Amino acid sequence: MKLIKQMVVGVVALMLVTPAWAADNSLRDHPGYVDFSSLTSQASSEPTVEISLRAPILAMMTNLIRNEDEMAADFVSKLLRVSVNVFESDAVDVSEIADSMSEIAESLDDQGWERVVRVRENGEHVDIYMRLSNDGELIHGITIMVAEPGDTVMVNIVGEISGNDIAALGRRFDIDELTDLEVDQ
Amino acid sequence: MSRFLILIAALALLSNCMSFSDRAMRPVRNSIVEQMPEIRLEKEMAVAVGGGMFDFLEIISDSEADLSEVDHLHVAVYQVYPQGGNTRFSDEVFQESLRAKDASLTWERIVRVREQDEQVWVYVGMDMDRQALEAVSVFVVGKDELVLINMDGDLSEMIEYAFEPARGHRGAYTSG
Repeated sequence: MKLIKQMVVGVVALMLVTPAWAADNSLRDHPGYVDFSSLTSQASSEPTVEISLRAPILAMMTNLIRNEDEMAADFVSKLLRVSVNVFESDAVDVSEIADSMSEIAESLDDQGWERVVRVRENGEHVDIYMRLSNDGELIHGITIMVAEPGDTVMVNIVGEISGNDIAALGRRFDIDELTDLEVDQ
Repeated sequence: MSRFLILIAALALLSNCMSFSDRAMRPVRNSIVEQMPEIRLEKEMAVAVGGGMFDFLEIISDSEADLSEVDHLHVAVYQVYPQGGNTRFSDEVFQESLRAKDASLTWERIVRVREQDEQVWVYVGMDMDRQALEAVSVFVVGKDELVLINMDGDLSEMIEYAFEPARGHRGAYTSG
């Protein structure tokens, strides 16, 4: 009987663990998800700032702001992940980072992402990519890569976002590159 | 005389709302030491502030934060004594220590900041059944020091302040 109880406890624990693992894995399979680990290792240092918001906390934000701003709550509710890595270091070689950014950009091109912004100016490298749904109605992911002397930023936003939400997203999460962006769909 | 009595009553009220014990943080501290036998943590100071104090602060403060929903604030400062080996704190250690404190909440790290002499981790504790933010815990690691800060209550209205260590950087949520 004791053995059976232990087996039941084990199976129940596995069932509880598996959804969390599966949820994490399903996010990695999401068309809007980008893995920056190659670029992170290129920076040869750990991020100065890491912000990581996943579905549970984003859902709470939605509930919180719904009373004051229905529109903002609506677009936050469509987000599955907001990930920001910032490297603030003069030790980071911008040209090497830019090379890695180009590799990631090529990979995004191959996966069907669309480049909406590219800036190469005054030592600053900026790439903004979007992954549209098959019908072009929604944005599954936004990827922003910025490299400039002393400052490297990588942002990945995963969800089911409409073009109208982009600027509001930029304002809520303090991402200047999105605030002035207009997306025609 | 009446003013004197009011002052005594206020002091009694406030003193009941505050103590200098790290009792609430001991499960976190003990879990960290258990996971990291290469360090010893000695309490330098601790402050525990109860809800009454926040009700009082809500009245006298013009802060935008809704302090009245805060039940407790605990701050504990520990001196870190290495006992050989690399003293490297990690997400896993802190997350496990928070589960030791309160396993009923789902803990997620939302912010990590690395500065020259200091690292900061910010975790939120969520009641998934009620879809409510119940706790914010901050770990600050300095040169030889570990600071634990925990705030609990109905903190949903204060979620913006959990991003304070990352303020000014992209991704830091703002209420608009």
